Amino acid sequence: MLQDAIRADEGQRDAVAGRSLERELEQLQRARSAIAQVVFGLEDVVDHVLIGLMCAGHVLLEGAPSRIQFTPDLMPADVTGTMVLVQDERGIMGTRFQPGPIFAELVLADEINRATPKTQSALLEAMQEGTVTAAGQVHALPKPFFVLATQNPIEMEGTYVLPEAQIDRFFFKVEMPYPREAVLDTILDRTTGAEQARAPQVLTPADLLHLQALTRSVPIAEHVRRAVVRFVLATQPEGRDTSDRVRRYIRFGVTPRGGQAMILAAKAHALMHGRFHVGTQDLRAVLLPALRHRFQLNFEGVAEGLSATTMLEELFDSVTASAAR
Amino acid sequence: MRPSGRLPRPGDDTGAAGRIGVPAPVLELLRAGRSRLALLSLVETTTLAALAAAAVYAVAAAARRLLPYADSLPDRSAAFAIAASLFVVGVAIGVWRFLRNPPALIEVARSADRRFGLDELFATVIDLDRGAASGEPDSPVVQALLREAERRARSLRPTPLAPVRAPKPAWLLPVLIAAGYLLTPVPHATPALADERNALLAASRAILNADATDASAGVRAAAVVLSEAARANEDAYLTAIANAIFDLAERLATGELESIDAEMELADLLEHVENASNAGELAQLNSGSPAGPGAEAPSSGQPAESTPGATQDAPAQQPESGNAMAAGETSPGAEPSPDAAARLALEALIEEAERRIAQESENQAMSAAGPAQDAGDAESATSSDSPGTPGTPDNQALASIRMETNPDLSGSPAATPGSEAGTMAQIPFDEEYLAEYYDEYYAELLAELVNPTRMPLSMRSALGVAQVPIELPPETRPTATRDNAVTTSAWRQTDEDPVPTGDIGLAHRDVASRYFQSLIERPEVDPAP
Repeated sequence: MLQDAIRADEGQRDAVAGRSLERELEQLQRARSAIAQVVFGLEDVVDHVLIGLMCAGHVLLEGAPSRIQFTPDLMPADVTGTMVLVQDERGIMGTRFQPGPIFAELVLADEINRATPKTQSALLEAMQEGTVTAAGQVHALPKPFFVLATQNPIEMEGTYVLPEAQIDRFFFKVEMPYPREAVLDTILDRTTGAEQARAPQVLTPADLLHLQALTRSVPIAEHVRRAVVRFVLATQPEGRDTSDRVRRYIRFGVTPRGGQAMILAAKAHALMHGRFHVGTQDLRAVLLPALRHRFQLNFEGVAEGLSATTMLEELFDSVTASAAR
Repeated sequence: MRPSGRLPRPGDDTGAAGRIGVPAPVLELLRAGRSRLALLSLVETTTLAALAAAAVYAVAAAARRLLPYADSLPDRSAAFAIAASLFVVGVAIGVWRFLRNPPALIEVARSADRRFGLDELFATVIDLDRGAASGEPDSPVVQALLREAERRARSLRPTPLAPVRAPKPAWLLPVLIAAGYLLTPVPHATPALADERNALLAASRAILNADATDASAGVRAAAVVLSEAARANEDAYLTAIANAIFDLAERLATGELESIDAEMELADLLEHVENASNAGELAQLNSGSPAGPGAEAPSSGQPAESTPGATQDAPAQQPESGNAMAAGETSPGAEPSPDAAARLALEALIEEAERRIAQESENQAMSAAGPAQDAGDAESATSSDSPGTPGTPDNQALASIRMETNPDLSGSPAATPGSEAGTMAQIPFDEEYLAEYYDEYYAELLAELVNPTRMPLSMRSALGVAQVPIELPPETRPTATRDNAVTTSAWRQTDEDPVPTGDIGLAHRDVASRYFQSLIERPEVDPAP
């Protein structure tokens, strides 16, 4: 399975080399436009989700729920699949892996925090490795594999907060703001009429894979990369050169996976905006969705009324400012 | 397709491996920017070096203004040499540092990105080329990046990359230069001192040309010179001394005063002149004012009219004075340097005055010795204990020495072989006394008068101290500072009191000046001790 995945990756790279860059970027813009036909007033959210798609990263949406899919009685096997008894043509009974709903290119895990930790943890392997192991057998998930989860920030009763290890698997955590008046008006107008707007299919899975490979090929200057390293280290409360403020108010800092997400997302952001290199502004644009769930205040920080996102922005600005000098 | 017009391999220029081939316009832009950065660095270094040099010069000038008698401070030329050396060394260090560690092309690229708002475009290209950033040269993204960098480089000029302009602290440079120029005391003081010396030179020539038969003329001429200096300096102390010398000349002319007494009194008064002159020089240098005794050189028509206490006939008795001064001023090429000329002139002035007094003494001694010899009463002549009485041994010795050194007097009775005066002239005490008193003391004194900077610091610090043996009540005003404190012990109540030297300081001059000012207002009080 893994070798198949590697071969698939190599195939994607070859495909990228043969494709026209302009065509890829044009497809990306068409995808944005198509989504905009059915999603109103959430351009940033759409962009962030698209970035997650381009980076083969999973996205956790946090906002008002649209529908409930995960429930407390949902079992891991309900998600990943299970071994079932089957009888072959000769009448011999055997077991066969029955893939669960996670075996899809796009998985919508709605209200993921309502599922039990056991079920939530069933997603860990799938999200990180792109595989599911059942009865000692590893089953590769299709490519592209993309989990779009939602989390309800209200009605916390009966929910199970995602553990840090699992929340770190999410490439982005995107906050969905409540729609403004004009946006809400558009939503009501478009969704209560006789005709429902439908987004046309613009990207095929192959196109997405091409985009993902293209994103990874965007170069980043050495000093920009080092600035990310210094920034990630600056968020560690146990770090040697950490500021007193971070030592005092931060529970845990940005993980290495957070640094990866930041650079990869910045590459996708640059590509989405027609640039072919990563700049500081790209890093700044993806800073919060990539890191807000990987950086937590401790009790003292919360009691002081501090904001983790504000601290993240301050730290980033100070590091990039010193790097520019 | 690769972008067109690339240089083959930048290689050592960027310290890169030349992996992707940086577009030529990008390289040209960055190299031009690097050259401009070098120029900017040189300008900054030069400006900073100039600032440091100007600051050093200004500080040196200020220090000399504040401490004019500190011998360890550099003078104007030395301060200029130090500042110039500092400037040259600073520029050399700046050039050396740049040549030793010129900015790498990646640094120029980052600077260009910041300056032009390219958000790391050029830096990414250079990093890709030198292998610091990962990226396949044939990747469509890398190719697009190179095309974009080339397009942007063609539209940019290197000028804004490193605009050559003076650094911010450069505004201090003219301020420091102006401060250094204004604080430098030498250029302002030199003309005043030169004028003063020229005036003294001219006045002394006038004395030399005056009537040689009148002993009081030399004294009066000295008083005229002194009163001119006092008037130009507005110095009440000097004015009072000049008045005393005028009075001395009058008493000498009328016969009220014996020559030997006049000589002693003149020596005392000249001692006052020494102090007053030193004090005046000090005050001038302290204030930084260019005005001095020579700022208004004595003119031929008004030598003493404005001097308080000066006799009305003083100008009339110096008809050659003005001519000599004019001649002295109009023929500078025939004169030695101002220092030497002024010193010689003053020496000649005082020697001439003393010579005339001594000549009077000789005449009186000889006229007194004649009858005594005729009467054969040599004992009565040698037993006299009055130093000013004609015919005393001292006076006879003086007359003998004068006759030996002055051939014009060789025919006088005192030089007759076998006479008593001629025998007394061989007394070695008088020779020693004269040599020490007239030559060494006055030569040193006059040298210091003409050039006060030759005086040691301790002597200058003690200027005005204990040289006015007058009886005054102790200073009652509160004098808090160490420099101007006047203590009770500073005042001599009698001539035998020891001379204080330690704790009076410059304030004494002011007290003495006020004292003599009061004497001018009350002329019945004698300023001399």
